Amino acid sequence: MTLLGTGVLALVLQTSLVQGVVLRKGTTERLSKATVELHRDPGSAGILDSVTTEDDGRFSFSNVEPGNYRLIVTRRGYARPPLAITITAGQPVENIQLNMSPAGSISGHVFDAQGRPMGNVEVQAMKASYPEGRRTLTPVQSVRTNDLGEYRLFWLPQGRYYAAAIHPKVQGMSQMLFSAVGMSMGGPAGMVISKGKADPALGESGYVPNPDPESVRYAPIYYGGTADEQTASGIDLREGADFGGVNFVVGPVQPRHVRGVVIDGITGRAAQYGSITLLRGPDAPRMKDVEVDRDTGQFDMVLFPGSHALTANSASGEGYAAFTLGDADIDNFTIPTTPVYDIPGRIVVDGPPIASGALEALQLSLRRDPPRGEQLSLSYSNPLPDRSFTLSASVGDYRINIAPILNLTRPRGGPTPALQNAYVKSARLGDTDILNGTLHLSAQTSETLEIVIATNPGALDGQVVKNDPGPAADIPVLLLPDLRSRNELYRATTTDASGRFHFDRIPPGDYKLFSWEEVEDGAWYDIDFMMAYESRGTPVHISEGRAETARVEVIP
Amino acid sequence: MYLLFVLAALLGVFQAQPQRSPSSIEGVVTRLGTTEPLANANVQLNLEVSGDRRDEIERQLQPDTPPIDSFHRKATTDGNGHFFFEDVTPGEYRLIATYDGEYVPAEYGQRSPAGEGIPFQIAVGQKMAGIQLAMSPTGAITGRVYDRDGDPLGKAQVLAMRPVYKNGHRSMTIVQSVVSDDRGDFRLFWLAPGRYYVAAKPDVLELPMKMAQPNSFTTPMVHVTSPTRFGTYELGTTPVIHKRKLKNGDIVEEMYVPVYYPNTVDMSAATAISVTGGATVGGVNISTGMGLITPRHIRGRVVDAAGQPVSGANIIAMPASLDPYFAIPHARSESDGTFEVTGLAGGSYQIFATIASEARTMNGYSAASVGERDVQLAPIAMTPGFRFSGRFVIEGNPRPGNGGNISYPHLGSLIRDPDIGGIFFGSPEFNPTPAADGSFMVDSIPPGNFRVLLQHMPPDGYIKSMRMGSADVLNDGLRISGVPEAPLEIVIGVNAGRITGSVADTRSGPLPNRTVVLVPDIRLRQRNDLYRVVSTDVAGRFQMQGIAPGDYKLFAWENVEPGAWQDSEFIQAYETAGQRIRISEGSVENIQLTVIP
Repeated sequence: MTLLGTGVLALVLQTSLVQGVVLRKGTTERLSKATVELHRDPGSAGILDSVTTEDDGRFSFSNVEPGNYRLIVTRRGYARPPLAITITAGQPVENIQLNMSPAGSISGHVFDAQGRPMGNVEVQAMKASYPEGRRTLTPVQSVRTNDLGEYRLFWLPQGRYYAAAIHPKVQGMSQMLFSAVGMSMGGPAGMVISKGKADPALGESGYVPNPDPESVRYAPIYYGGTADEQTASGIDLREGADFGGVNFVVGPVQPRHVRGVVIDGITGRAAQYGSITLLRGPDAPRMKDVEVDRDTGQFDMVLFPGSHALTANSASGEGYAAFTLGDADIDNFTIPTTPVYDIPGRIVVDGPPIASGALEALQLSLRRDPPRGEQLSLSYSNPLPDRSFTLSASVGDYRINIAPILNLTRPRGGPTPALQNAYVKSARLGDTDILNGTLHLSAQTSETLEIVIATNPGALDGQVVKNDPGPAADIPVLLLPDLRSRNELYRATTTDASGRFHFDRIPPGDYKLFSWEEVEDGAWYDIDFMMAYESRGTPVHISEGRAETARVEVIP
Repeated sequence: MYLLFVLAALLGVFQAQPQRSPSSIEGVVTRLGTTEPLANANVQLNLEVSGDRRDEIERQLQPDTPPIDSFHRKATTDGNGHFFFEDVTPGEYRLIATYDGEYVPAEYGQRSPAGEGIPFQIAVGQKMAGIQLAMSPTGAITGRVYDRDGDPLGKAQVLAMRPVYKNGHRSMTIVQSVVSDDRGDFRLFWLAPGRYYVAAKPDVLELPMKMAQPNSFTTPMVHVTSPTRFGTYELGTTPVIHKRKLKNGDIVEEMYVPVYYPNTVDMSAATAISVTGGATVGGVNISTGMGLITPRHIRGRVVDAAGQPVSGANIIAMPASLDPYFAIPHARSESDGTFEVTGLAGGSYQIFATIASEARTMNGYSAASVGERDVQLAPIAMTPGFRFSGRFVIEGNPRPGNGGNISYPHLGSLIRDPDIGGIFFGSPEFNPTPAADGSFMVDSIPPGNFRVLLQHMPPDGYIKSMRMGSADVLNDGLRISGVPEAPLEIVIGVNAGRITGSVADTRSGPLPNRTVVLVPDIRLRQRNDLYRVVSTDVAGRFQMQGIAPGDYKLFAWENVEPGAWQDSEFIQAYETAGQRIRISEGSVENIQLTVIP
């Protein structure tokens, strides 16, 4: 083999050493008997390698190829979330600290509507995230109830959780896999084979066949007794705590009818060639497509109780509806469809002028309010050199998005230097304030949308203090506008080594500062959560061009 | 002609009624041992039509006959446990009551709380009333799992198994799999009364909660179903190998095999736990330390027919044991064709090498025995699979009445011997329709030992012989190790024997729902295809068809575990109690049997 050949081979094989130690959080105490597993990320759930720590708490994986991985560590009585690591060729990662804190548990019972315990119901512990300021729950652990209806979710790191109970007849993928009799599944690191023959009395999934599949269905029930993610109750799990009594009543949910007509939004008469598309999240159970009568525009939808959103189309234009379905049918539900309306607008600059041409980089768009489902609103408008622009939308409620200075969703890039200090001071359609309120669009408007952009924002310097000695270093600080619906104004930062923090380029207005010793990312979007702490925030008023100072007490 | 035959069969199943039929079935579902009615129990009324015939009948139904599925009816019992099926089309049915959770399915005609029932006839205008389906409550088993240091072990996999016979050997099947909590506690529930074995091991398999996002959070795999009376379930997963660094710097590998209650890794030494209806058996504690083993490695190399290394082949080691839970060690071959499979416990294995790409599909096969040390295998040759031709020959005269178009059977599948189950490992399935002269061709057959299964046998058909050159495939199996040199010749007779008979007791009269087994001559006991198993009907009668001529023994049992009759030790004890019977072409033997208690 030539020298060149050897060199190439060596580059390809450059693997790394990954090692570290498992510690009890907040101490230097090493944890033995901890199992550290190396998983590919993303990848199948198979374990690539697994090491159990001895008294020195150390673990190491050798010959790890470059790529993305997750370290999952389990240890009796302790927990921590998985750690994501990236390995680059030939670079060892040698000082990983896996801090584990005492694990907690969530437990309770599941009953049916008659108060009898329900077995084999899946109970999930879930975490919330808040894209666009609206709660989405993702499961992080799941267990099944036994015949006494008992369940126990365990080895949970401290934090804020939500819980859901899911009847086995809601055919989630995992349910089907676990009961499947006769399947084989392979992946790069894991393989499962199951085979057998079921009792003929049971259906294929191992469950008693439903007497009448159409009439009896189940939907996930969240802790708090609701089928709606948005109103689910949170569970604040402390380190090592056993949170019990998280009970559920799971009953069949009657699907309900929503009957109505797709109409022409202008004439009020039935629209022709109507169609309805239900907007739903990625995991929602499949529903039949809605049929709309081509001539009369009539429809009869069968849906579960909860929050729904849909878009409608017809020969008369587009429409949208968001509604909450309770435990009764809805009749006479009209969905107006209208042509897309043009809204003329102009931008006015208040304060120091902005370089010509810089405003043309702004991307203006309207986002539905409240945001729901898959909204791929990729279209936007740029202002013209004369600072005018046009937005188009059909009937509905909206908020205005002006990327990258007013961002309801994550922007693609930051503001150009000329726009660094720009913020939206006001947005009005005629007399209506659509910055602090919602834009209701119901007809072609004759008014102009006026956006005032100012360039003299305020700033804030502050100090976080805490009761126990020492600086309040590395502590999260939140700046929330008094009008909480303005989620684009929420700001977060962390104190420096001496407990100081700084926010700059704050649009003037009334705000409140909060600081917690420990808080979960996004918890502040949760109304329930904030209710408990509202009185402990520090109010602050930000004025144009001025730097305020503030002193914030930390919430333990 | 074929259509007429099928319609006749259809009429035999149920009698078409030009006007509304007033037949009905009503009864009550109760809790076994009481008169307490069970509300909200599901009751199924299922038309009794067996497999192959059902498909044919469905295809040929007249336009104005209701579809077959309308003869599968469901009802729910009311507050008094009462159910009522009205307007029942006369025919042969089974009636089963089921409950989502706490009760074992109860079938009409069953003789024990978890036994199978029998089909019954509903005639024109018959009103079947007063049926009582008594459902037995289920039981539970609880206990705690400990790790090797005696501490409670969370997320351990805990299995409840029941004894079954597999191919004549005593084994077990999984009824339920649950996970221990952080205190090591587990509860196995919804168990039909009976005997159970419990096993535990750490490292329960975890699957992603959202299959579309493989890196999403995982959830432990459990297997919990509504209570079952019978049914089998086997589970195989990738072995989990732990590495530990000892104080002297050595790295050791460790792996766990299931430990059976009370404290053994040997399935045959496990202690059975008796579960009765409504009871919970506690204190079933298991220490998993006993299951700690040093996993072995198998090293080898795969090459193609030209001796070139095969890179990227999947190598799987399937244990030859009959354990219901098994590990599936596997690996991938490197660019030089070498591979190293880790995570093997002691025992015999079949090694399968497969590679499937657009360019080529190849299979290789080997066997290995793993003991106290690692194994180095001889190179495994992978081939594209062999092709062989075959021919069906129909010999002899058909049974009078069957005359006319006798069609050839089809080659159904090749089952690996010993059976490891699943198409995945190259148990090829195909269904080549034989040509007019009975010839057929099959392709891509991997090397190995197989049993040949045929499908769509003609009525009263039986296999006379199956030969490939001089090899007796029928009795010795099909062995493929290279290109087959001779075609597979299968001779089919079309006038098999039949047996009708009854089982009665001098005092109690005819005995329904007893198991009658036809066991082949002692020299042919390995021929699975020669056994016949039926249950007597309501009048204690039974019949068997398609029996190859030869010597047999008939047994009727009061109670017998399914499959026990294939266990040579078991049947030995009953040899003299069996009734000898000789079957010739076209014969119909009529036998009265006394039952073996």
